[in-house]
Amino acid sequence: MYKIRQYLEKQPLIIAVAVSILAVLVFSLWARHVRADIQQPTDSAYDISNRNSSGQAVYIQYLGTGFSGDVAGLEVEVGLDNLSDSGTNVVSLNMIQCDSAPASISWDVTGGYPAGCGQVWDGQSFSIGATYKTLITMNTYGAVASTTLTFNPAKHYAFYLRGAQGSIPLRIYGSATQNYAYVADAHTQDGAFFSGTTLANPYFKLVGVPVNPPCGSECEPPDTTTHIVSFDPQDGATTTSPVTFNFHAYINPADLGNVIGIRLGFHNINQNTLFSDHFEGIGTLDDPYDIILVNQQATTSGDFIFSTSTVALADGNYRIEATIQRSVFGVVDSSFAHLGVIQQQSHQFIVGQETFIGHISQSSFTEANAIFGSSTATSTSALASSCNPISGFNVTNCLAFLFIPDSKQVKDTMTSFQNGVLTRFPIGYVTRFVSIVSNPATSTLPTFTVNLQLGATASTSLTFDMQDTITGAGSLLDSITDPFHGKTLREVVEPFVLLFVALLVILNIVADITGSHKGGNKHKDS
Amino acid sequence: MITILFLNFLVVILGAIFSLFPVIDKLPVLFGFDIDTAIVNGMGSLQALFSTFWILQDIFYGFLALMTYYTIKVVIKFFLGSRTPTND
Repeated sequence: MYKIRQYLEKQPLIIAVAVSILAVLVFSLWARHVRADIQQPTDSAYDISNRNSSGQAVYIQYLGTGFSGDVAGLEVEVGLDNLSDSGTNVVSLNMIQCDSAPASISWDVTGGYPAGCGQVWDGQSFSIGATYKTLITMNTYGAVASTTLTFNPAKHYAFYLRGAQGSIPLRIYGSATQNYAYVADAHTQDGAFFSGTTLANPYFKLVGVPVNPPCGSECEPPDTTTHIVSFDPQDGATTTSPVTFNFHAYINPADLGNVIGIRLGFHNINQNTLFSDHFEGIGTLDDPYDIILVNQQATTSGDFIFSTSTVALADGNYRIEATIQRSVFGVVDSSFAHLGVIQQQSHQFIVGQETFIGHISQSSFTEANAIFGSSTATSTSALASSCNPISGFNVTNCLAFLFIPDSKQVKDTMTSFQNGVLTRFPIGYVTRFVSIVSNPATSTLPTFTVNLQLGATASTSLTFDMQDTITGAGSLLDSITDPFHGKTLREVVEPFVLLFVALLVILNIVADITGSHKGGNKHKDS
Repeated sequence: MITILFLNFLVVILGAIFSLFPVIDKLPVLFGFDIDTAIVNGMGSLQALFSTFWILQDIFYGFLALMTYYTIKVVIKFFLGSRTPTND
């Protein structure tokens, strides 16, 4: 105890900071205010708190900030539930850009847009009918469709609905309850509004942002080699049981004479995760959990289409493998798949809830493919071919394949380690503490109110708002600028503060390691 | 592959062992004192102060760096015991 006290007496800086933090913690517990730990995504929320002049809701969705890049087109998913196919259901979805968050500004339905906002995207008019979900392409407002929009990350963006046909009020009929809703006339009510409660689940969801789409597959000659075109489920997909499997391959006519075999199979990878991949394709040691959906010879050239009826699967992690192979010794057999492979691709997907071991297996497999996939392989068999002593042996690739994990691969393993170990007792307490300390979210500082009794009956109160005071102080600090270079006080002074703090920390550590401060004390004591 | 296989093997073993223990998503409540709420609110208040008074933030990060050093020192001493190099 004496040593601890003696040590702390030499570290006044540590004591001061520690006491301050402790005081803030105790004070905060007493204050009982709440911090939002998790910020909700903005692309799934919509706001109907704004009203038009008739008192009806205007549907707006705030996308927030942070968008960047040049956008030549925009896919927006629009949904309005409980609509029939009757009437003229033409509306227009538009996007506005604002200097500040439009949620805090009263929506001016007659003037068009809130102050500081302007329309940047004019959504194509689209009909809402029995198909209540649609994809539309938005065009830059007031310009040709090919003109791109450059998002400004600092600006706020929002979608809103409006009528799309001149002065004609547009009617959207409701459900069998005969409730109905109108989309306003663009001239008199610039904004959409709906009455009743039939529009239960509108949403304007940003589903894709094609940035300057390059000349795509339509500019290239069609691939007429024998190859895999596509197969489902897609890689990384999470689906629910039952699952539908599809396979699309193309067979070149010249290859038919070589006896082309087409194989599509999948297996559950929740078990045998450590060994099954490495024994795959070696005859009797083939993964016993393989389920072969199709394994046949192609008898005609051109497109080969295969689709199963749905297959009921238990929850877990799965890997599907599509293979096109030539005959080996006159036989097309999965046991020799790695010898006669023309093309082999794998997808990994999850049915329902993934498992702990399945996640590790999928992560390892994905990252191994990421290392070598660019040159040769998208499958375990092809990866292993780098270490095949008979053909395709490459010592560099083989050694790298065996010993060098990709950084992301290690990261995924560490993620598994974190999920499986660091979140559990007792290390979980440390993890939780670190996550709190590293979270940059802020709390609203509390307000003090003191009641003062004035005489026998009268009283008054004094309120001190810390948040208001600090915000004002921050504005004052930020307003101080260097008259010559225009830099703020922080930009000028902070490098020196950081240097000073860093020097203090380094000197303290060096003094502790070398024991120089102890020597000084001994000298004094003597 | 061998390296990541080894790492995954360790993770599987550790995951199996630690799966016996409960998941910790909040710090405990001791004698009615909600430590988690206190630290969440306390750090939130500190972050609010830091967002305005950035000098405090710089000093706090320096303090954290110093505490990291002392934490590493304690861990080394815990594992090495009397074999820990000292300057005494």
